[in-house]
Amino acid sequence: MLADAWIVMLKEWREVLFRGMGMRGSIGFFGLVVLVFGVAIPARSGSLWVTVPWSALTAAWLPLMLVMAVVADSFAGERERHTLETLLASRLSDGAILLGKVAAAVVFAWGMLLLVAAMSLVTVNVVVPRAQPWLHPLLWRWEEAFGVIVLGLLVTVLCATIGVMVSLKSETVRQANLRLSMGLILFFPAIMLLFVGVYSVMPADVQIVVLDSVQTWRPGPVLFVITLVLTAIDGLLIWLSSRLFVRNRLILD
Amino acid sequence: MPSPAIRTDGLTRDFASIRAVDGLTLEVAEGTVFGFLGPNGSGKTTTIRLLLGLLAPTSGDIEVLGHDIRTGAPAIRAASGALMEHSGLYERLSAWENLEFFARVWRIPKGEREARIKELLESIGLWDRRGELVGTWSRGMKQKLAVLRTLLHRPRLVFLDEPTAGLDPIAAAALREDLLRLVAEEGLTVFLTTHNLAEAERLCSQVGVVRRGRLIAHGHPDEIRVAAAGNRLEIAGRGFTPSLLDGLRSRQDVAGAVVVNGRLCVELATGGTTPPVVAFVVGAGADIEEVRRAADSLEDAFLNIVGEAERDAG
Ligand SMILES: Nc1ncnc2c1ncn2[C@@H]1O[C@H](COP(=O)(O)OP(=O)(O)OP(=O)(O)O)[C@@H](O)[C@H]1O
Ligand SMILES: [Mg+2]
Repeated sequence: MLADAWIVMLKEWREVLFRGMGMRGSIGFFGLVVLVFGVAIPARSGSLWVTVPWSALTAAWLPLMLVMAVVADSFAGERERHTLETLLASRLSDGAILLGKVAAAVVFAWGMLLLVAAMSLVTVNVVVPRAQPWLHPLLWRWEEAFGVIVLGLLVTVLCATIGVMVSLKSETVRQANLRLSMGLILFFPAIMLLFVGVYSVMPADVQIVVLDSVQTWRPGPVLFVITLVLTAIDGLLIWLSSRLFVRNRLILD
Repeated sequence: MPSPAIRTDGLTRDFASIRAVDGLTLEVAEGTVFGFLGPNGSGKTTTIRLLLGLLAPTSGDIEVLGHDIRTGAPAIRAASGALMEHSGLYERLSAWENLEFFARVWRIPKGEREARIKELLESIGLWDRRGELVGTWSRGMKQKLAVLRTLLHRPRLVFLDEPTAGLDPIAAAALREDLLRLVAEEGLTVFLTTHNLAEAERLCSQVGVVRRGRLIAHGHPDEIRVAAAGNRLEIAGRGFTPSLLDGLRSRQDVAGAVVVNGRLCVELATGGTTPPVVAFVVGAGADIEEVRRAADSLEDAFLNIVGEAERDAG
């Protein structure tokens, strides 16, 4: 199944990422993203980019945006361009098709995030003047690195799975895009409410630890909770999307 | 007797208030070309979708290549190729990329993959244009490519929903020849729908005629023609005089008689048979060259059958 999902993912990249915007358009766009998020913003922030905790977490919404850019096309595009039925009539399993579509968005967005993150560290180290930069490189602490790499992946999977599900249930790419942008308006408040909700049901002594770690900028315990919650949500969404993908109903929807 | 490639029993599919497929019981022998004919909206495409497990039947059984659809749909799809209503080609990919994607999907090993794609594209004279985006191709070129795609992995069974739609007569004839060759060489089974009855006649060893989801005729194209002829007798020859016609019309066993294009067409009354009528015509002094009791072509047969069913349904 993984090999098949890989084949679907590569097709998706080729078709949507490169041909969708035209080769020059896509390269220009990716280049711009790396320049803005990997060079311009970290250069402005200087050493704050690595010393102020959480700042790296602002990168969490980069994958969200990147996923949004490609995911609406996943199923609605195949439906709109009349290729879905032929894909469904092939030997590809349900899992391979679904996983390939999700992976196409996840690997692209998360890959870009990692590229931008690495680029930003290079930028910061280049632009901040100091003695012996080679011996004391400006780096994130493990918490921020964990935030970018692990939480970045979890957020990407979250967005991609939701996006693929919306696309699966949409008639056209335009409709999928509209639904996703409306969802986005509600996304951040919903996440906030979720964490407030999780926080409020914690036992009082755990709440104290969490609050303390936030106030003292020691994000370890908070990261732990966020990771746990996100992993659970991701698992749930992946399960849900596999339930939503009913091959012998897809051409009806 | 080899087991049939396709067998359905009482296959029925409803959409809201429409019964698209209605109690379809059908057998398609392995290694044959089966033509599925019927007017627009008679359930042909729906039947193909059901056979591939892309729609669930409302009731009835399906067995394809020995697999029950309920448990074996993936195995059925793995052993089949399908050209559905739309070509299903990725217009923003090149012809080569399209075939390559599907060749990978069907797990054709790399070396073989390239040789196979080359062989197929050369067979339709489009090898030189493999790098062009399919979206820029003409409808017929796309259609040819889409048909090739179904054959890429040398399936045992192909479903072709109106494969020659949009092809020029030469290309259509070439496609028919290719299909017949594959059927002969590789034992391929073909299930195709078409509105081109001449094509069905040339290509298919069995045809089924559907109307409103019901199978209303089934058999070799010749059998269908004969069956559809009903009570019509066609006599070629000379000396069909007005008095002969009057004489025929006054007979109990004749419902009507006319001369069309020099041919005498006699509509027998119920229970009427050919020999007495022929004897009468000869006795009246006409020279007979040929007597046929069949529709001229499958097309006539088709129109008769569907028309009859229409009348029966009120
Ligand atoms: N997804 C669907 N939802 C509702 N009705 C449908 C659906 N698919 C098919 N039908 C109905 O089922 C009937 C049969 O349609 P189908 O496409 O199978 O006909 P067809 O024989 O392939 O026609 P054509 O020769 O025009 O291709 C039609 O009345 C059609 O409206
Ligand atoms: Mg059809």
